[in-house]
Amino acid sequence: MRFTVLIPSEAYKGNAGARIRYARLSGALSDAGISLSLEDISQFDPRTAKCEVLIISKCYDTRALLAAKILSDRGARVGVDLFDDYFSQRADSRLSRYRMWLGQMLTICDFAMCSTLAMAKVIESYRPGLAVHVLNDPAPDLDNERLFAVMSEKLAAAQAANLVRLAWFGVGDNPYFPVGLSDVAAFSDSISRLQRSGIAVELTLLTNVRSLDARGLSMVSTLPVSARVAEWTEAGESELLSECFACFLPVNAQGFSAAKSLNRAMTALAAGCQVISVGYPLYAALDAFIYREIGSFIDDLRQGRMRLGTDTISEFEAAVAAVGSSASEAAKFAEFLRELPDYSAEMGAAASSLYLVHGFATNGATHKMVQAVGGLSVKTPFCHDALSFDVIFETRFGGEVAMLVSDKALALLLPGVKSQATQFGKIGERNFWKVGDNASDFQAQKAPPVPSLPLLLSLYPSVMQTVVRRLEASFGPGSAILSETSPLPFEIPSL
Amino acid sequence: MVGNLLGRTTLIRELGDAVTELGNLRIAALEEDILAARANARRQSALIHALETEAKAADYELSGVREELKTVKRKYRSVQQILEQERGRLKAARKDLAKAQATVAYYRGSLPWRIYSSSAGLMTGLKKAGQRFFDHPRKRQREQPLALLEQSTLFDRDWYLETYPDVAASGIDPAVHYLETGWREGRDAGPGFSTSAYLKANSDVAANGINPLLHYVEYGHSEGRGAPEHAAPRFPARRRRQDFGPAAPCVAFPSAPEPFSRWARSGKIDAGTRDVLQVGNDVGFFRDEAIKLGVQAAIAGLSDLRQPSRTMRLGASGQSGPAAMLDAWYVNSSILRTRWQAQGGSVVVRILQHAAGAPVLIGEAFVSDRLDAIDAKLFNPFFPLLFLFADCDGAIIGWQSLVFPSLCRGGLHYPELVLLAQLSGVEGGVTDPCLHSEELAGRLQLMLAGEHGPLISAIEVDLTEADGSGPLFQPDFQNWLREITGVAVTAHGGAVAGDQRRHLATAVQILPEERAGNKAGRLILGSDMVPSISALVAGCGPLENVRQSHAMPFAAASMEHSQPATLLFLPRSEWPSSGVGRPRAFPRLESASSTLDMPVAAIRMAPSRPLHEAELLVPVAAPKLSVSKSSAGISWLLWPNDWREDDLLQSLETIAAQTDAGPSSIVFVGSEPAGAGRLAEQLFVGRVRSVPNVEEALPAIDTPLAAYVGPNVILHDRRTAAHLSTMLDEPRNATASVVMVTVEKRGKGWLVATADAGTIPTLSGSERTVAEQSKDAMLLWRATWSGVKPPRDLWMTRAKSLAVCLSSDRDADAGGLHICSALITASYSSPPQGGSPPLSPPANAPHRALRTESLVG
Repeated sequence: MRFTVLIPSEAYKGNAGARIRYARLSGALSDAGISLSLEDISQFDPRTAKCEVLIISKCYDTRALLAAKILSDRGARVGVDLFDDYFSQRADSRLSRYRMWLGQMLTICDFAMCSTLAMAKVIESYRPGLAVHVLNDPAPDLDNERLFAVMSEKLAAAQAANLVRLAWFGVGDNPYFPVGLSDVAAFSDSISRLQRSGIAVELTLLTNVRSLDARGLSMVSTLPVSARVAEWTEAGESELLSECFACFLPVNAQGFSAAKSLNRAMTALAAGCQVISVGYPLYAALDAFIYREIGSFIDDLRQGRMRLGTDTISEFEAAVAAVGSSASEAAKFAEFLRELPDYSAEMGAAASSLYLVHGFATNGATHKMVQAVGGLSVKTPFCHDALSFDVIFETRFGGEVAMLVSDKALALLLPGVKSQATQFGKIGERNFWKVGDNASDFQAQKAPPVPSLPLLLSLYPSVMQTVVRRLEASFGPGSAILSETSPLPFEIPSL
Repeated sequence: MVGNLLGRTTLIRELGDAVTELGNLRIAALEEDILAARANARRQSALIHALETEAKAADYELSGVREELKTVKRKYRSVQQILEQERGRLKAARKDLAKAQATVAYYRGSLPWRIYSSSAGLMTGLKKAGQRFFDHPRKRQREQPLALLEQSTLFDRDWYLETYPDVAASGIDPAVHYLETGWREGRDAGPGFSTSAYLKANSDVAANGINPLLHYVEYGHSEGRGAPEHAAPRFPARRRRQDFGPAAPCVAFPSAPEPFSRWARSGKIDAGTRDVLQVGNDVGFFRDEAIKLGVQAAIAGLSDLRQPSRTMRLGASGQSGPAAMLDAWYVNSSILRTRWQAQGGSVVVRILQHAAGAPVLIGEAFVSDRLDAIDAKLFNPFFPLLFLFADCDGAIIGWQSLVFPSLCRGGLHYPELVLLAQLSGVEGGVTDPCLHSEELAGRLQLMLAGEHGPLISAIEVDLTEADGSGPLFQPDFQNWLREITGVAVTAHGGAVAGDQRRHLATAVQILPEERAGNKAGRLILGSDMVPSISALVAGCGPLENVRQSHAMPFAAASMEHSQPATLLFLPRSEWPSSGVGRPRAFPRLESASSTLDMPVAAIRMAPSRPLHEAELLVPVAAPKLSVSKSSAGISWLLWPNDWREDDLLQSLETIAAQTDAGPSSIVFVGSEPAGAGRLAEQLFVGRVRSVPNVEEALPAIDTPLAAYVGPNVILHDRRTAAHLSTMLDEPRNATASVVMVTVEKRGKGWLVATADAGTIPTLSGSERTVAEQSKDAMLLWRATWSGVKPPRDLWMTRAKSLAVCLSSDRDADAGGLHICSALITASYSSPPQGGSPPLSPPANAPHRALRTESLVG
């Protein structure tokens, strides 16, 4: 059985999600006879791809929608992994396109995957009843003897020097949400209290360079202890974790942070570090080994008996087996897929037509792809790309929406509609036909010369709905995919 | 017989030999054939190889051609697109030209034109006669400017010839050269005038092709325009990097050697048999009994501020103590740095704070200069501090308390200090945090002593957009609230659902002892706010029977403490308790007490990031903004003469696209537009009227609501009408409006900016538009407030109130609040026009509007 995970770029393979989640899972899945491969979406051809299961990962664009649709129609089971939450902030207009994307994607998908139950509820709110699998990130392999030695050594060194080497690692910023460095700064009371207790603190921050702008560095400067800041690398992270006694991993309670997996805490613990995680209890499954407030950490350090200690290794191993074993996670995932309900009845028979409706900002690759699979590439009045569209919609003042079809699309019109089509003329080198009752008046009506953005914002949902209705009335029922990649806050139409 | 046999045997042998020979011959022939076939196969193989190579080359070439074709196609499409755009522009230009020609034709037919043209003909005749009269008109045209140029001190003839040897070589007069061609070639007139810099700085001059030096001499100088100097090229063209040597001292002050000072650190004080003060170590000794008693009381006050008897003992050793605080600021979240002025020239300062059941020494230093700083390593950035002053031997000579250190610069309550300083009535303000702390501590003491009940017994935190990272969720601030102020904190809105909300509700909760039961009020804060100290120590006045909800003033401060904070407060008595949408930006006090006066109720941490264009266009995305479905019809009043036709058409489209609002009617005031009129009839069938003037517009309105739409306004959000109608559900609101933005294409993106959000007064009484300060737009984003005037070009009112908008009486009553919402915005399709609008509601009194003040620390 072949699983393909569609990723946004080749470089994404170095990202924690791909590196930890899928790389660790693939070994265990192969034992079950499942091969898992990560494929860059720009190199992926859904018409020829040979896979039984397709998982869309972080590809928030129309190519993913189209790939999912084409493979679904070819009989593959299609799922989406949602390990980031850009979808529950319904009031935030910056994220409209993400919500528009997910709404469409979930109508195509057979299943979804996420890290937390909170995120599963978000998915439920988009498509009630869809099968959702909560996948824990597989932990790294544990070497108990090494872990035992490392923890003993770190504890002895911390007590001898009365010094806690503290680490924070991760992505320091996000274009939409205050995370990373702002969490470290906001929850730095704990570091203050640790220092006030008389224990010296050495803090190291490993993060991405982008986050270290003036604002990020300003937040670092407010920390109660001076911090060493370095750029994150995988090797740097390993080295830091091998040196540090504890990791400080505060989590805020916004949806984006609460949807994250256990992997940072798991990585830190598996490297023999204590974990102090204040704020939202994201790592509740590992609570027995995690400090939720600094007081108990200080007490335990003074007593030389830490939560992750030489006497709790076996419990930790059991916890890892329960929530982070790659074998059990792989087995549970395989079982989930076996039990996956058949949605074909709910979704109806595979639609005969596929309409790719281009919005304000679209993707040329999808245009070619939809035409290659016999679908129609549809230009709406919002789209300004010069592509060889099959169907063109134009608006006129007064709400009139006129439809022009190419020779190719003319052949696909329903017989009753086709008989009414009249010659329109050439657009570029291609011949077009007018369709619809009002088409004859179309050229006589006044067109907005350059529709302003405010006008487009206002008309977007209603025109999109009209476009889809007209397509279905002219070509028959089909699946319409809206291709919109603009960050502008277009209202999401119900198609 | 034997002979026969022998002969036969011989024959057989011969026959065998012959067969063998024949076989050998055959084998040889076959071997030759094989060799030939092999040679042939090799040839064929070479041929095939050659063909394959050729095919590969052809394939490669083909793929190259395909790539090329792709590129060409792409370029073709791009060019086609540009062509289409240009065609569109050409078409529009032709249309404009035709219009212009029609206008010209119209004017040419008019009487004034005919008079002008005949007089112009007369003038032309006179001019020609004049030209004939003078011998060399061209020469005259040149001589006057040339004289101006030569008289100018900025034109340097020698410098010009030296700088431009080609001019010198040509023998042309330098002034003539500069006048006619030199400036166009970017040459400078002299070392004191840079041609290119002047043209760059004065685009109007550049656009009109005027000689820059002449322009400067004749106009620029009197208009206050600068004359930029000639700048020689800084570096040789090839040099890309500038290497700097070590910095050279640019200024040096004579310095006297520091006098040697010796002072005893804590723990090293030789107290002998004297009265020693121990805080962990020996921190000093007493020579004076009164000071001893004062310091001991102050230390006791540190340990439990909520004991009134102890609180009273905090304070200072008098106005003329041994040292006065000059400045205090947070270096980071746990270090407070202070500077002092020692009265006797020098003093040792020691800082104490209460921690874990006992006072602790958290900093000490010898101060002999105003620039000497002392760092206090705080156990809690909010808990009181005690400064002990001692001589170099360790004898304690005075003390000073700082009860609320968070009033210091960089602290959470710093904007409150700035406000208190401004309210102190002293010129320049009293910014000493110790002094204001003492005053606030005094109020706390009175409250704790039972002189009056607390105004606030509990704080409720609105968790709507909380992420749990604000100070209200952090242990240090919570400890301070619990131990110093004794106020309870809970989540606002009762039961909460969801893991995140449950966590937040638990994380924010503080349930210390009850503060005066239910009599006192509840302060409702956003999760990004903290209560002010003034609010926490405020006493309540006589209680009334009715518990009311009031919007309270708050200060919004950015993370950048050098930036001024802004104080905002809404009209207290008239602000509707329910508000509209989610007025989350304002703290609210629910209280039955009539004494509500306090300078500020909360401090809000203002976001430092700029608003994204999407957030300005749609502050609250659907479906999160609740609007009540209104059936009240709306008449939209437009003055078509003020509009460009395309803008008017677009605006009508967006009015027609409004959802969840009552039926819309269009009232055109002035002449009815032809194209727009037809479209309006098509969109609003039977509900379009035209009236000649505004006086006749009123009777034409048959809907409960009316809205004025100024030129170029587009309702880009389809919920605008419903939102405005919802605001007018509240009888106390006279008009409803939304924030106006401008939208401009910039490169590949869009630039969206706040254009008009109405007018609000400052505390000092002056009025200004909200959009004048973009910071205000950020502070009021997703909030609702009332202003002195609504935005100029879009507002809605009740039809029956419209008459007052026509009144010329400047003192006319607005009849309620001008409420403006930043939950939705509307936009201008092109920049807003100036001038007075034909219709505007009367301005409100300042006390009925949101007032702001900049708190400059």
